[in-house]
This record gives sequence, structure tokens and C-alpha cells, in this order.
Amino acid sequence: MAMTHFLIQSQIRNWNKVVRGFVIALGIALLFSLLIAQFGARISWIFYKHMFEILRIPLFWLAILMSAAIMVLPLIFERYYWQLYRFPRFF
Amino acid sequence: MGREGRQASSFSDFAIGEFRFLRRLLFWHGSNFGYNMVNFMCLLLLKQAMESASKAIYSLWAAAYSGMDFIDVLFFLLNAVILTQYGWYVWNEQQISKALYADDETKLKFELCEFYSMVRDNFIKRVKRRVAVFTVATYWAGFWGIYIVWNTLSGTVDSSGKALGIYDIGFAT
Repeated sequence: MAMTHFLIQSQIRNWNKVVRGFVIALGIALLFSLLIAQFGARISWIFYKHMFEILRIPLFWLAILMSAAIMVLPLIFERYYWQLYRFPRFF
Repeated sequence: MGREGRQASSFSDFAIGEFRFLRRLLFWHGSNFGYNMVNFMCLLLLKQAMESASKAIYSLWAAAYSGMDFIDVLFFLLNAVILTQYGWYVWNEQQISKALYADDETKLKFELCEFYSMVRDNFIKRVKRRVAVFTVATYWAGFWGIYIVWNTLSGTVDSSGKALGIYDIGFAT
């Protein structure tokens, strides 16, 4: 999912404040709304404790960022090939 | 526009007021549409194929053919719904930079017909090649998404010693 977020963000050509805000808000909103929806029936303080324990692990974020970056890398290179090397004057 | 012209335009799917609008419609919006159509299709193929590829790799390598799934139910269900809608932004994205040209054709440093030709010859006509590139990228992404996350996070347990299972992997991938 993180990779799909990165992938779609890599395809956005015209960034502005609204788009940046939308992307950040969407990522955060999806994370917490899905967690609540998924575990809504059995949600409790211990669940939050467990989740925040996971979120506090640096290795967790490192794994997400590294794997998503490696996954999306070929497609970013492909896009750069067209836009920066092959036809730079159009983009 | 006479009576027959009005009748023709009222029964047509699409009508424009002046003939000169056709140029921008074809070469500006048409070029962007062609580019985005190919990109959007490949992205959606990749999104679902990557999920299936990572499941297959997970099943063959990590789950020992147990049929266990690393993606929670709602993540699995909403992946298609939400991220497909998210992908619609790509469909509507304009490839001619707004920051550089501000939607003004007179500021362009190239002819619009050149951009149209480039998109037609390299993206629309060669869509199969692009799908092939995305297919290779799918298996690449599916493998690394499982390999890195599984190796780094598969041993996570909570404070009571209970294994958190593979939820964190589904969360990450």
C-alpha cells in the first residue's frame, strides 16, 4: 500500500499546496480509518498500546520506506528515462 | 450555424462552438489523454498484479503453501476501492507543466503537434512494450515488498509475548 501511494505520487506532475495537503491527509486518514474499521469490534487500550509499540520501532518505518522505495524504483527510472533523457524538452 | 447545424450539434455526443477550438482539444487535451490513458491502465494493472505476485511469492517462500494471507480482510477489500480512486488523479493529471507554461500555448517551447506525435508514437502505439516493462516491475516489486518486510518484521511480538502475527507486514505492503 505504501508502494502504491509512492507510485501514484511519483506520477503527479503538477504539485501545489492543495495536492500536497490532499496526499498527506489521505495517507493519514486511510491509515487510522482502516485500523479502526478493521479492529473496531475488538478495539481496546491494549490494541492501541500494541499498535503504537509497532509504530515506535524505527526498523518498522525503515522497512516500509526501503521496501517501497526499492519497489517503485524501476518505474521512477522508467519515467525519468522518458522525461529527462529521451524527450526532455516536452516535460 | 443554420438549422441543420443546430440539429447536428444537438444530436451529437460532443459539440464545440468554434472550429479553432478543435486544435487545443486534439493536441493539448488529446495528447494528455493519450499519455494518461496508457499510464493509468498500466498503474492499475500493476497495482493488482503486484498484490497477487507478492501473495504468490509469500505463499511459495514464507508461508509454506499453507494458504495463509498476509493482508487483512479490509485492507484486501479496500485496496481495490480506495487506491483505484486515488489513481484517478493520474488520469486527470496534465503532463505539460503548469508551473512552466501556465496553460498558455504561446509560452510553449515546442509545437503542440510535436508533443502529440511523441505521445502517439512512443506511448499509445507502443502500449504493449510499456505493459511489458510494468510486468517486470510488478514481479520486482512483489518480491522485494515481501522479502524486506518479512525479514525485518516477522519476529515482532507485543508486550505480553504474544506474536503480532503478520499484520504489520500487510500494513507495510
